[in-house]
Amino acid sequence: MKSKYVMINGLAFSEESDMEKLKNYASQGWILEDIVGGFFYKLRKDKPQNIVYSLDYQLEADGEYFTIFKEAGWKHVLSVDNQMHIFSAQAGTKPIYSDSKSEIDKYTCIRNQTRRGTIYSLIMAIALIGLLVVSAIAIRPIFLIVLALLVIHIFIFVFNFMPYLAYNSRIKQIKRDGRCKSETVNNKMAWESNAIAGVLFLAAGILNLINKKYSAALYMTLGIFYIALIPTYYKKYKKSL
Amino acid sequence: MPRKDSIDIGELTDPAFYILSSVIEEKHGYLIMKTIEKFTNNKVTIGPASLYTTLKKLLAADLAELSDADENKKVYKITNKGRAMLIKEIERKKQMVKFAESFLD
Repeated sequence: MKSKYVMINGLAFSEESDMEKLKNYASQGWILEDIVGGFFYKLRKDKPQNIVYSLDYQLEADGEYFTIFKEAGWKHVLSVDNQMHIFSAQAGTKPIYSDSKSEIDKYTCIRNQTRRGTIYSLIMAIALIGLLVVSAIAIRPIFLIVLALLVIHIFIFVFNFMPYLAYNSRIKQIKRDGRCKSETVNNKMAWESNAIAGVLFLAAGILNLINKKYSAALYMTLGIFYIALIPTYYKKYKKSL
Repeated sequence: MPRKDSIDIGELTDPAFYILSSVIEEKHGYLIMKTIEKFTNNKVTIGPASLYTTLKKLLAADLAELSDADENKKVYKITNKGRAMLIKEIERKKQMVKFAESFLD
């Protein structure tokens, strides 16, 4: 059977646009089957279908949860780690959330989980940086191991902190407008992460300048580049509101 | 900062109000949705995700309870506490309507 793989854009950021994309694939006969490797949708070739997709976060999904969805016309497609669930239904089926209050709850649990992950990985990363300095001076043999662990924890940090910001911005958006748009979340994240990257590079540039290193120029240029991009994304963000 | 749950501060959200009223006679999840749609002429619908989270909250706040459950289909029923809260909420809503109507006459 023919199947193909489509990249996931990061569901914390682009949930609505990804669900729209899956709907369009289904209308061409590419039906969502699974998520593989955490980064790809696996689509299987079938008859074109007029179906829509919805995503829900539920950390305590039980039989009752899936029964209620099924009876309301939403077919369970897949779950990831039993906390993120994707459902499909015939176009025109009533949405899975009918009020903004319970939709806020949807993101609150997963937001809190990514917050815990952020704090844990940040503490670990700081401890590992300390250990790295010590090992560089005193315990050479473990230097590479510590470095590898540090890199892993920086990854964990990024993969928790970015979604955390995205979920937070979703909750704020629903509280304000009663609904949420991928475009707004994405543009907000874009200008915020540009600001963070810009400031970090500028700080690195200044540090290098003080130490009279040539790399200062490179860092400064990168910092200015990121900061120069902020207005573009900020305008896009304001426009998408 | 933890968000104050509306059930804890003595108020029912609209969906919670509809759900709690409909389990005065015990019902399972899907029947709750259908009953609400039927009695409101489809003006009010509750999505499955909203229903599930609201039911869980009502159970946690002791406003509803499970009557004999089999594994995949739970049956919900209002508790005495839930009934008292519902009556209080109906009174509050009546007052609100009376207030507004007295200006419209």
